[in-house]
Amino acid sequence: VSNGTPDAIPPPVEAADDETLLVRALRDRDEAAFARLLDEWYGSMLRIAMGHVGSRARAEEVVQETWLAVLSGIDRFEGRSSLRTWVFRILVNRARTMSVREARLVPLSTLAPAGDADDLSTFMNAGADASAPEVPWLPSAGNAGANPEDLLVASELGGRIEQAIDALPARQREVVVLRDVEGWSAPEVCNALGISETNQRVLLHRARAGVRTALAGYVSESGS
Amino acid sequence: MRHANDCERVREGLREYLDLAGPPGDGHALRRHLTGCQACQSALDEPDDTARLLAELPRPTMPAGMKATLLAAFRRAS
Repeated sequence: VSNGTPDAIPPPVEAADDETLLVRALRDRDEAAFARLLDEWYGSMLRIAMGHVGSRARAEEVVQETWLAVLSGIDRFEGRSSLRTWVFRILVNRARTMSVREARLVPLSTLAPAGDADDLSTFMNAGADASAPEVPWLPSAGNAGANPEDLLVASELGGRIEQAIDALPARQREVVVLRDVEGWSAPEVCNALGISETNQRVLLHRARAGVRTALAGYVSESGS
Repeated sequence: MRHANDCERVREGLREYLDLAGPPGDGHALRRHLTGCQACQSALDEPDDTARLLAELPRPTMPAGMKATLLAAFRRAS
C-alpha cells in the first residue's frame, strides 16, 4: 500500500462497494484493492468477452486489454457512471472490436484449427480435470474443506450453467451475467450496455428462459 | 387505465414471445405494454429460480500470469 500510512487498517471487503473509496484506492495505487477487483470481476468479464470472440485465449486478451485501458484512464475517470459500469463498457467495446477484427482477418476455415477446436468446450467441460486452473465452477483451494460429493454436484451443475450461458447470444449473455451473476440493477445494466429498459427486460428473460431450458434437461437426466 | 386482464394476457404472451413461439408482430404490442406498465415490469424483474442459481455461480480468480502482468502495469503506472 502506497498511501504513506503503513499502520492504516486495510479497508474491509465491503469498501469495494463504495465507489468513492474504490476509485480513490486505485488512484492511490492501492495494489490490494486492485488485485481484489481483478479477481472479483474476472469470471463475468471472461463470460461476456467469450460471447463475442472465437476462443478463450482471445477473450482473456480482451480482459487484459480492458484493464490496461482502465489503468491508463483511471486518473481521467470522472465518476459520471459507476466504476464497474465504466469498466464493463470498455470491456464490451473491446470485445466487439476484437470480434470485428477476427471476422476481417481470419478466414472461417481457420477459425477452429484442430488444436483449438475444443477450446470452448474444453473450458466448459474442464470440471472433469481437477488440475485445470481458472475454471469457474472447479473446486478451488478455498473450498478444500467442503464435502467432495457436494463439490462434485456443485461443479457439475456449475458446468451446466456455464454451458447454458455460453450458448446464449452475446446480448442476452451480457444482460444475464450483469443482472443475475453480478447482481447489478436494471438501470446500471442499461447504462453500461446502452440499451432501453424494455430491451434489457426482454433480453434478460430470454436469457433466463434459455438457461432454464438447458438446465431442465440436466435436472431430468440426473434425477432419472 | 389498464386492466389486470391486459397484464395477464401480456405475461402469457410474453412467455411465448420469449420462447420465440409467437408471431413476430406480437412483439411490438407486448413491448409497448411492458414499457408503460409498472406492474408487468415488477413481475418480470422478480428474480426466479434460474436467477438465484446464476447468483451462486462460483467466482473464478484471474489466472496468475495475467494477474502478474496487470499488477506490474499497475505498479508502473504509479
